[in-house]
Amino acid sequence: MIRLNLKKTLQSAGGKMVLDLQLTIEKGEFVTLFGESGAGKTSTLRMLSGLLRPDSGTIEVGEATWFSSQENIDLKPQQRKVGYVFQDYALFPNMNVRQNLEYALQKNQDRAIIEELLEFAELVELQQRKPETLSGGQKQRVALARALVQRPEILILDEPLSALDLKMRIKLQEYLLKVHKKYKLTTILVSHDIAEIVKLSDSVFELQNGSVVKKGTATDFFGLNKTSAKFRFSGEVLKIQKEDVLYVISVLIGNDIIRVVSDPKEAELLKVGDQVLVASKAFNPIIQKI
Amino acid sequence: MDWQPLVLTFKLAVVTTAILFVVSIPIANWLSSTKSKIRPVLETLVSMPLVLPPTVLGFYMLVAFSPENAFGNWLNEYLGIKLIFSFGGLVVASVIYSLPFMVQPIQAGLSSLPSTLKEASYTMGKSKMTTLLKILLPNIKPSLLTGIVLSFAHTVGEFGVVLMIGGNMPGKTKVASIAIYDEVEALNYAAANSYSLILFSVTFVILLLVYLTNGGYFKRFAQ
Amino acid sequence: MSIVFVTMDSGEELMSVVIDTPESAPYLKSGNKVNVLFKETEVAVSTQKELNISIENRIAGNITHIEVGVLLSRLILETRIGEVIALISTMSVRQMGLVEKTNVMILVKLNEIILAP
Repeated sequence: MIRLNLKKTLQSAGGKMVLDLQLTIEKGEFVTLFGESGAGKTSTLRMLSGLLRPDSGTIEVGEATWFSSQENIDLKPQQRKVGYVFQDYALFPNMNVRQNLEYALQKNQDRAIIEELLEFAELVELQQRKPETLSGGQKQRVALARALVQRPEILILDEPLSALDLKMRIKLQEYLLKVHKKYKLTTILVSHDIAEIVKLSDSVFELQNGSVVKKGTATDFFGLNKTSAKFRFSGEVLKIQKEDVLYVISVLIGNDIIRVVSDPKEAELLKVGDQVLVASKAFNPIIQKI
Repeated sequence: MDWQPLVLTFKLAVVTTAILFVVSIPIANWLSSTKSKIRPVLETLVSMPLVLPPTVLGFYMLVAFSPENAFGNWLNEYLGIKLIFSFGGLVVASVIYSLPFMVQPIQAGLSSLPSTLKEASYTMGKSKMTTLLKILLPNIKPSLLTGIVLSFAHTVGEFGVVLMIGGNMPGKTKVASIAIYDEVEALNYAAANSYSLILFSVTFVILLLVYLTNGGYFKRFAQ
Repeated sequence: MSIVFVTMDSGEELMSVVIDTPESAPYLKSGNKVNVLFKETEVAVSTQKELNISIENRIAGNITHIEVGVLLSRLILETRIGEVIALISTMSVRQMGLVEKTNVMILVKLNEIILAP
């Protein structure tokens, strides 16, 4: 469990802002910080990882205290060892992909993790390449793999996918989910993309002017559970098929497979295996005795 | 022709550059990352030799290092170092005089690196030293080269400080730039020309090499 | 059951019928913000402005793009409430002579409008 209770006066382009934040994140959760730019999301992540010093407050992670202004505790980022994926990837230009990963190895750490992560992030072919020769999606995979080398318990993702095109974004969302589960991480994401947030996160915190103004599970947060639609089921996407100018999506609900027509715009956000909500108004279905 | 002044010039330049390189990296690193209030003061001090007449610097060093003075006396008495009219004194003076030429390119190079490189390294548990040596410096090689070459060339070309603090002692402190002045005073234009031509050619070749290998970077800094 | 009048940010008024009542669903309150959803396939298109027809929700729009399929066509329309997509038969597109930049009315029956608080 991560408990943040932080106060920090920030100087931003729009003038002074006081960040005053209470946040609790359960171990193993995938959490998103949501909100306008300048709301204090990145500053929160930086304070958690030790890159920015809060004016006052506490940071507790599990049983340990990482920061406490009262007890004069302030662990260095080196001691916190948070896996941090930066928005600009922050790959070391002087090292190739493999060296970037190897640099993150800890003293006496088993090197087998390098092979495992190269394999996992599909970087084996690219391991000798320098970062400047990689595409955005490849760089992102390297940054993610590199952040995992030291086996962090907390993974921080600061708008990791914002610079990528939709197709690459969807693919990398898969990686993030897999990584989160496989390495049993507590993951904290900053994102503006609602579809992405709903797909990835367990819960969402909305920040505004440095404070949490709203929180909830991802589906509740964006009101997806609260439509007036009464004919409503959740299921799993089995098949996506293009027909004419639209898509037909097969969804498994309970033991039944239903088929729903979808506009290409929505269909491209879906893929087989996704959990979806199917809803219609109570006025539409017909009902017959069998 | 007497080769001694030329040999002395390049020996001085090599030693000065080597010391500057070691000294400037921590200074530049501190200047590029600190938010301290005394940073502008230190930056100004480092840059002073750029605008100050070399004779001013030379004069104060002369006064400071003189055995007549407390500091100079202390150096002489306890450490046995005599900085006036000696090669050691020339090195100290040159290091101070060329400091901005080494510190500024390195500082500019370090500042141009995204701070996330450093931060990424810290979150991986790497110390500031490891980060500096393995991440920061290898990524500012053009800046390092620029600093080395500028300091070297600047030391080769200095005159006023050297004259003030070193005097004009053959084989000890008589460097090429002073030899040229000497020869001209003695109306010995042929010898002055030989020294000048060699200094001109060597400096030209060094700078040309930097422009060729470093591309736009050096140009940007020089502007 | 209630009939709900929703004023869009652009000023247009839409109507929806829901099974809920203000008692069963607290969000049904005057002044409350809601999102309005409807399915592309439920959008009808007419080239006539005034129609004697029992479709309550009518919004003027302009066709910005047509994707013609074998059976169905997909119209992207620009309206004051934003971009609306309409899926209608290719037959109708031909019959009505719809092309890009045609001004049309889009029609949605009130029972097709879903409210999301």
